[in-house]
Amino acid sequence: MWALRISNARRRKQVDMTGAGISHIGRNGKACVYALCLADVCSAPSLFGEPGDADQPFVININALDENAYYEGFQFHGDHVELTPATENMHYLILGTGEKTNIAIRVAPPISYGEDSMTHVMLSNVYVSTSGQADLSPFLLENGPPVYVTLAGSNAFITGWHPIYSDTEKEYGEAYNHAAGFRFPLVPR
Amino acid sequence: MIFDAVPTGGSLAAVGETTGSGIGGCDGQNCGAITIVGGTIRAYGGTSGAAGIGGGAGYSGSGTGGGTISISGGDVTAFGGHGGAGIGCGEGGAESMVDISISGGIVTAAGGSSGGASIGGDNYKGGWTVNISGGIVHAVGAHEQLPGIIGSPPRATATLLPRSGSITGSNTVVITDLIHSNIACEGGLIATNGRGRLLSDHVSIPHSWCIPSNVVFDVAVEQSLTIGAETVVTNAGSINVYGTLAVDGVLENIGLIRVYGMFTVDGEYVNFGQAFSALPIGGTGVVTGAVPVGVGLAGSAADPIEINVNTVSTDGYGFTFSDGCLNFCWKGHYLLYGTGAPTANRICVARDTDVDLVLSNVNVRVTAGDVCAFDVYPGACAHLFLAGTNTFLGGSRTAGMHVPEGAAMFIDCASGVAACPTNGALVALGSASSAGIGGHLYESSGCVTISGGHVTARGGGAAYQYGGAGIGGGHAGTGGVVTLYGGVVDAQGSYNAEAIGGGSSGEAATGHISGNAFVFANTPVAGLDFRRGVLITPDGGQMYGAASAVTADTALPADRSLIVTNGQELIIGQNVTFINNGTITNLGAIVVYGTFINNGTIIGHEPQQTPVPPAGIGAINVSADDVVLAWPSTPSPVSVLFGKDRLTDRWERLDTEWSPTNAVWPRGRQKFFKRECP
Repeated sequence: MWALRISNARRRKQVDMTGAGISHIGRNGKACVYALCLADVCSAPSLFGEPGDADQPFVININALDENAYYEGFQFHGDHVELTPATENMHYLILGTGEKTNIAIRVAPPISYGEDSMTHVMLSNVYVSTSGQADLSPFLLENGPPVYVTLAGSNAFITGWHPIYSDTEKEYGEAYNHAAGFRFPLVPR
Repeated sequence: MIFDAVPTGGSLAAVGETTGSGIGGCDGQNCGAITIVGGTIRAYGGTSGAAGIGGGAGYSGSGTGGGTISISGGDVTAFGGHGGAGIGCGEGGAESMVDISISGGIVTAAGGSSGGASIGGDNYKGGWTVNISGGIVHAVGAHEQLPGIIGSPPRATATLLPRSGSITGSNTVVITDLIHSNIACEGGLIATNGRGRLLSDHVSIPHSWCIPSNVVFDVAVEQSLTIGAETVVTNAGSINVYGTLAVDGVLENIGLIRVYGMFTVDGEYVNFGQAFSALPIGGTGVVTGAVPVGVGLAGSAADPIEINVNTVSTDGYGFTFSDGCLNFCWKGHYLLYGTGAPTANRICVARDTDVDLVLSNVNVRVTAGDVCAFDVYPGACAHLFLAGTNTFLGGSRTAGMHVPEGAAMFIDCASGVAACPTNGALVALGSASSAGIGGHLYESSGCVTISGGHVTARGGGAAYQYGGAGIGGGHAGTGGVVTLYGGVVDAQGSYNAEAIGGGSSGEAATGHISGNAFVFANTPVAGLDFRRGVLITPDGGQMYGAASAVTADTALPADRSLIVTNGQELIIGQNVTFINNGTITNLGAIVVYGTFINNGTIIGHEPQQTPVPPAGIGAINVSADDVVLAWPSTPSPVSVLFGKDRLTDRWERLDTEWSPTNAVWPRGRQKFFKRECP
């Protein structure tokens, strides 16, 4: 019996998104490119890219998702958000406030992709914990091409309590989560 | 999956619970390919055996391999759970495989708490290839009692899967405890169990880094270590540089740096710790902090640091004094002198330190239990040069002079052969069940070499059956390596211990007796190779080799005997007085340069008083393999040959074979030679 409650030693640092430089995110999920310049995430402004290109990534704020909204390049399912690249080499920017959320991220394979294709995901101050949700990874890559993850700010992906990671805790009766923090099993491409 | 970071940096913490890895597979799953090129990444495998980065734990019996893991940049820390690897396989019931390559970045990995590899397989069947060709890799244990392991732990069972790898490159640093024997260590700076060395002639530390406090590494002659231009290195450990240390970036020292070779600073060197440089620091950079330079470290053979052992109370140049112990932690030359009156001030030679100590009338007697009078730590080397009479008696359960496994002690007289007979005695008295010189109770001995002086070593005893050797192990300890090739040695083991060798219940020593050693022992001596010299035991005295000399005053007791056989020559040295109170059977020749007093019985030929032959070397002939040293004109049956390396100021007695007319020494590093007659 593990009737333990591991106290939360410290709260993660809050991130001021206003200060991060995103002026607004369009309802279509695209960041207005002229404003896409976080302190750590800065893309060269471009007026010519297509949605999903490097200079016009699909953008969401994982701490401000709305089940009734439409996000281009994403599907939000309530407990997880799915990246659904229509083609190969799509670019995504997932923003967070640093606040913990239980909304997992799942990367689906593109409808078509080649040998050298890749899905690009930039994470900025994203903190996902799926503690208590049985066998749900906070970040899951399903079969498909590799994902190129670019880190900005401070990010955390946690499945549950861990004795040497202080920001985890577990409530009595909570389900075990046997998933990986960052999961990408060995599967055929 | 590829991880990178924006130019200003980004971090990721990935945490698995129970059987899920931090990054990689879930319960019972292999993981795919992981590539890390940047970012600060912390990965924690679940506590039930998952890898930090790699496979999940596999209680379901399915595979738990780590896939292909490549790290070429970033700052990566990975902790495995239970028996999982930090980076590699999760603990599992089925055979699994991981391919790991590290070519850059800073990687710290710890296996799970029941012994998974830090980098490699789990603690069961995992196969792996581990290739490290760059970066800084710390493979550590999950806690202090567990070793850091690269490969797989010894308990891991054999597998049909490959287990192989290599460590290469001149920009590679690896620090761990165990490296699997299937991994070829071919390059870089590799430290295992806290002791490191360069396997490449030139190593450049590839990233800003802090050298841990428990790491000691050597840069050998002909090798160089470079702190790169964009690199900031903080040294909290110990660096011994016999080759070259070049600082192009920033080196901050809070530990110990000893440079015996070249030290060049074109960047910045800041010293807050202990540092020596044998030569002035070169280069055009900035040097701040205290750095003694331009001296032969702490003193020189001609001008040693002088310390009165009876009155010392504070630290001094090259040594510290605390808790009644003189601690020598810098290579150098010291003269320790006393009044002959007892003192409780002890002498300690710190780990990995090589010191020359002239002992002159030092009398250390310690009464506190388990406190040693003279302690040479593992990895240290003490060269003792005897003047006057010196005595060391430790507290109970300690050796008179502690030379444990891994340590070495060399004993000679202070001023060459001529001064030995009347000037240079050492008495080492072991306390209960400990050796006179060597191990404490239950301890084995390190290396003890005696070249000159009059050395008396008495093992301590207790309860009739637990005895220490005169020279060698304490009770239950082995005798270590004992080499005697000069001086007069009087060794007595206590109770069931050997005079020279193991303590009671301990194994014999190895080594040899040669040269001009004249040895008294109260037990037979096993395990040693008898090449030259004299050994006298209660069973009788015997001479080995064609000729040997007595080089210190001594007397044959009334209850002892000695046989000089036909064709052998025993030389009584020019300043030596030899007194025979026992029985000598002389069927060969006893050549007396000094004084022979007979109070006992001589059977056979009378000793022959003889003029002293000239010393010095008449001619040197260098061949492809050897240096042949010929004596001037008068043949001498016995000579004492000394040599020194070009860069040192210490003459060392050479244990070589010689004929009446010459000696042969193998070519090697440049040496200077001198010869004395006994």
